[in-house]
Amino acid sequence: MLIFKNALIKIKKQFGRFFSLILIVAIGTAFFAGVRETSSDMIKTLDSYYDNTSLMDFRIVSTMGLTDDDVLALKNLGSNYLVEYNYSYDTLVDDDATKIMGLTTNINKLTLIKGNLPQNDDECVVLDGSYNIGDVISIDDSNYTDYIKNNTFKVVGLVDSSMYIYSNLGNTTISDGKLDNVIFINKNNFTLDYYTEIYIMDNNAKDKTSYKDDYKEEIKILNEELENLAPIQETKRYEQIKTEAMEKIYDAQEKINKEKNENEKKFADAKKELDDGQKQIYDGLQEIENGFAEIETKKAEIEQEFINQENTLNDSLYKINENLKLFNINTDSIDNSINDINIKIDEISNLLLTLDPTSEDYASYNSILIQLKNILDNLEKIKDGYSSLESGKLEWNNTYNETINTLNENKVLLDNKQQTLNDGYNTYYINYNKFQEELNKGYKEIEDAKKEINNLEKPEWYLFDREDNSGYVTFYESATKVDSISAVFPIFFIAIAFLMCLNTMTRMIEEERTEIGIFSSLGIGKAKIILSYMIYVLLATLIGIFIGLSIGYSLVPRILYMVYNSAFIIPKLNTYVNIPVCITIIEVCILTMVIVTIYTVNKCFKEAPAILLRPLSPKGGHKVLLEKIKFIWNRLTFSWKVTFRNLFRYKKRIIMTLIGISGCTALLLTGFGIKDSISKITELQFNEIQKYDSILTLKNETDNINNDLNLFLKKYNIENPLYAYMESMTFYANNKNINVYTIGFLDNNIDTYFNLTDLDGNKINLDNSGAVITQKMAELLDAKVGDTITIRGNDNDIYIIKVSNITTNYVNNYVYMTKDYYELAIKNVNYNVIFANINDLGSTLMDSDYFTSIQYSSDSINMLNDILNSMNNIVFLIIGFSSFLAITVLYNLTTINISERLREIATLKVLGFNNKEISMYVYRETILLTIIGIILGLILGIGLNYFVLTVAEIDEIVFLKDIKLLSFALTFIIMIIFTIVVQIMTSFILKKIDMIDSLKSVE
Amino acid sequence: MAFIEVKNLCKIYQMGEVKIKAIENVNFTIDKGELVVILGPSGAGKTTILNILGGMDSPSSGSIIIDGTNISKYNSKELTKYRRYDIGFVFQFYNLVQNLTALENVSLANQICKNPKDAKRSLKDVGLADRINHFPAQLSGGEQQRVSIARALAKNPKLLLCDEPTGALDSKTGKKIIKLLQDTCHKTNTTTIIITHNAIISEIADKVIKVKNGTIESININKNPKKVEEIDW
Repeated sequence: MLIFKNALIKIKKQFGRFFSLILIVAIGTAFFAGVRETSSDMIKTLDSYYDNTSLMDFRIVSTMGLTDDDVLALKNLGSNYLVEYNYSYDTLVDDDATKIMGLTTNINKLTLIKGNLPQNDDECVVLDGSYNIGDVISIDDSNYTDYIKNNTFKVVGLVDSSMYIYSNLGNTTISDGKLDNVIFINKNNFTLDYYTEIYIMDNNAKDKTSYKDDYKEEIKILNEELENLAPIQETKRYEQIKTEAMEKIYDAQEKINKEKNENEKKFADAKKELDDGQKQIYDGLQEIENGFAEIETKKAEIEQEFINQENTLNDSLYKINENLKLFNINTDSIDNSINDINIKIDEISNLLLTLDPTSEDYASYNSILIQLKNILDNLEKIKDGYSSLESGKLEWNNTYNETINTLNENKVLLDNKQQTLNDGYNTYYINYNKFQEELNKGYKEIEDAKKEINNLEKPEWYLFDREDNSGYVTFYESATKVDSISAVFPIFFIAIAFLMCLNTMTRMIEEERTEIGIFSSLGIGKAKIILSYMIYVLLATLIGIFIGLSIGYSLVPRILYMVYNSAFIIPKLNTYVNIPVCITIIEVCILTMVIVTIYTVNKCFKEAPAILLRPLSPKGGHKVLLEKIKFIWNRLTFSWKVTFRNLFRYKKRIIMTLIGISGCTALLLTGFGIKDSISKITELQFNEIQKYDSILTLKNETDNINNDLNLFLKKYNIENPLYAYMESMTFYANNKNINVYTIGFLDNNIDTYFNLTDLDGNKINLDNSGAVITQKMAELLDAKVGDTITIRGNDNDIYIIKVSNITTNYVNNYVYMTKDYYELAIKNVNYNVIFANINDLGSTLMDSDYFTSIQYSSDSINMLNDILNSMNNIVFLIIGFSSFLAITVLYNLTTINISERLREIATLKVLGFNNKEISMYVYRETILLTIIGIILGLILGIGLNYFVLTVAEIDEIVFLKDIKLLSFALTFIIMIIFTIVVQIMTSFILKKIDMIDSLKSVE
Repeated sequence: MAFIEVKNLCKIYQMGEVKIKAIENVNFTIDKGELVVILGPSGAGKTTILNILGGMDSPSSGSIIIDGTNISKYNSKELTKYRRYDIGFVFQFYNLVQNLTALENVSLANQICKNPKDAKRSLKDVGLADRINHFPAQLSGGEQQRVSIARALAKNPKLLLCDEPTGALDSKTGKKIIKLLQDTCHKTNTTTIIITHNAIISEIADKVIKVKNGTIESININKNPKKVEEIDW
């Protein structure tokens, strides 16, 4: 109890020291535990996010869509598999490439951040940060109905999706090839008759940690199953599509045939009708023709008869006229003749009356009279004859004209009819031709369709796993960057913290040797005395560790996580306590502290209690080396002489101080150094080495340059496109396969896009003597110029490459070759990519059908920066912690210095030194030591920076190990500021030193 | 007018709830050049008086007029100045800076005052002319105390205060130190106050102030102070 109390009194007496001890331990522990835990926390957090949202293990996409049969087949793979189909449709919204997706309920579940899920067909949810609730999204594409029912959607909710945790949402085939947005709508809003994708998730893989090998092992089984299933389902789908199409064609053909038959009959009927009409007209015309002929014939006949009759009449008349002449009757005309005759008759009759009827004359006259009467009769008859002939002629003429008229009228009628009929014919022929044409077209279409179906390629399944999701991968790469630094860096923290603890304890026990002596002389056992100190140390250490672990496991990962939070859309970090690490830290700390305490206290026990009771005779002063150099020594002011004397008095203190300060300085400088290193990598890689702004992936690999394509590029002013064959391969180093891009260039002059320089900065030209490899690769393979190296193709082929040169490169590994060398060493070149500067022509190029994708350097830069930024944050943490540690260490050292020299300082006070002079008396040393420590630390820092960066370097990134001058300056200034701050802090201690107490005899 | 005039001096220490009266109602005067011994047992309050006289502590009440100046109301800055220019201290445990040679220890003091004595001279005066470059650890106790005295005197103080200067020394050495102090006092006319619990030493003083339980028991003036050689303990 007493021992415990004693320990507490010690704490109270020098709380500053106790507190700084706690702080140092806490800082060291916090950094060590926190930084080491961070990436594991992050991966665990993301893993549980993936589990909670049921992120798919595989996404299946087919070139011809997917069906219920596919869903069923996938479900049948195993009961532990969860399967869900979905639709998606990439389209433009206000010129932004937008993916419209169905809302899934079992896999890739969304996390609703605000609002609600869509209830109606015209509602949607969007990724948080893209649109606001209430916004209306309308699709530019007018053919949207092929895919979805609606083309405008009201945003009703904001969601997070574990599929889209990264700002880079992935690729698309529309616009400039980059996806700008994703929106989610109800599945039943889609009008597609096939599924565009199917997600599958292995429930067993949920228990495994994403990213880790056990997860990869687990999904390997599923991957194999899927790969086995793919050809079966592909064929099935092929059959289905082909069958459906053929059936459709057959139906179409049947329909066309039926239609043909029906229409042809109709046309035939119509034709017959027309022909009948024509015949009727022809008949009518014939009849009219006949009529004409008939009437003409009749006319001739009748006219002949008239002539005959007239002739007969004329003959009769002539005969009569001959007789009449005898009677001397005018024969000018019949009427005159008749008149004359009548006159004659009257004359004769009258004469007769006068004559004896028996007279001869009478008789003669009578006979004349009779004759005349006869003639008159005849003449009258002739007259009648003429008159009836005339009327007959007239009548005939009428009849004739009427007949002709009638015939002509009929002809006109027929002509009109013919006209109508002709129109009918025309219409008929037009329609008939049309019909034939259409028919032919239909046939041709069917033929074409048939041909097309016969040429139909088999559908192909594409399997995408999580590694194909850029967010998923980028996050992991960023997260593990912390690991690379945490591998070695925290050890230095712990080391410095440990050293400082050791220093403090040693000092404390030395200070309290009298007390130990008293206890010892009072007969208190060694163990109890040691225990008293142990309690003190362990209390400080354990409190420190406790605080350190609390901060380390809660705050540090959160601080580091902040940077990820800005680059990724991810849930709040779950922090975990790593019990084994805790136990190890506690064990190691307790063990070392116990050893230190026992060792130091034991050292005291070696002396008799009586000697212990006396103060440790102060270490005798002695001349320092510098005094021998009279030249300098004599020039020093008294104060500086004292300072130098003091400085070299306690070697241990010097060493401890130098270690402490230089250690912190080195840590700080390394912090800045890492920042320098990572801040320049991206710029150097993408501005100075790889100068193209994009890599265009050709749709069709080609062994000869497509002229159309060249013209196309020229049209858009894309100068100097550099054709190349690029393939991702691997090489084996550090017991693993490391990715490398092999590139064979069409043109040996690649200066426009690549600036290859060897490690001394000399320009490298590609030639056919070998390949130029990048520095990291050379380092990993330990390859020199002239060596041969082995790389592995995807088909596990081995290629032996001769290294013609090694080029400076910071990101990724490359093997650059000329076309000829590529063909010599690997295989014949089919160009598949173009390096170019396309500026903002991305959309135009993507629209052109020549390219499948565009890889933008700006995207690579962003992604790399996001990854490197994760290191930036750890740098800030390092700088922060180093600063904190530096302050604490400085404080600790200064207080030790002061406590060691309490009497000296009190003496100075009594002598009348004012506060400033006393402070300066102490600080001159501290500042000198600090400056030496800082300079030493800066030198050490260069080494530490190199070491840390070398260890942190991963297989694809080379860090620059030069530290900027500014960082040196900053480190120096910061350390000086800390020193000043600590001196100000401790100046209060100096002021408070009580002369009387301190000078009291040492009891 | 006396060189030092102490009137109604009181010092009360506040220890938590308890007030402890270290000295109460102390009155005395000291003339210039006087060698005064303050005598009393441990805990009587002699060191408190010395501390207050030396400007290392302030009184709770009362006044101390030294050479016409009242220092009782001095703030810490003024007290520092006062210690710096007017006071020389000699301690029981010498309080030399271990890391400095004898000469440097003396120089340490005289570099901060106005009219310092030459450090070498000062050391010569205390009889250490040939040991000036030795470090304290290389000197005997008496020699160290001499350095301490040399350091105090080098400042040409108005007042030399010695707190049990012989406490850590054997009687032979102690006597030498006392002699040194007496000689210095008389030779340089430096007012010297020696604190001791050793009554024998008081015999050499011009004035003996006896302190008991925080109050002055008596003030005696030795008409004929003894030579150091005459005393023994």
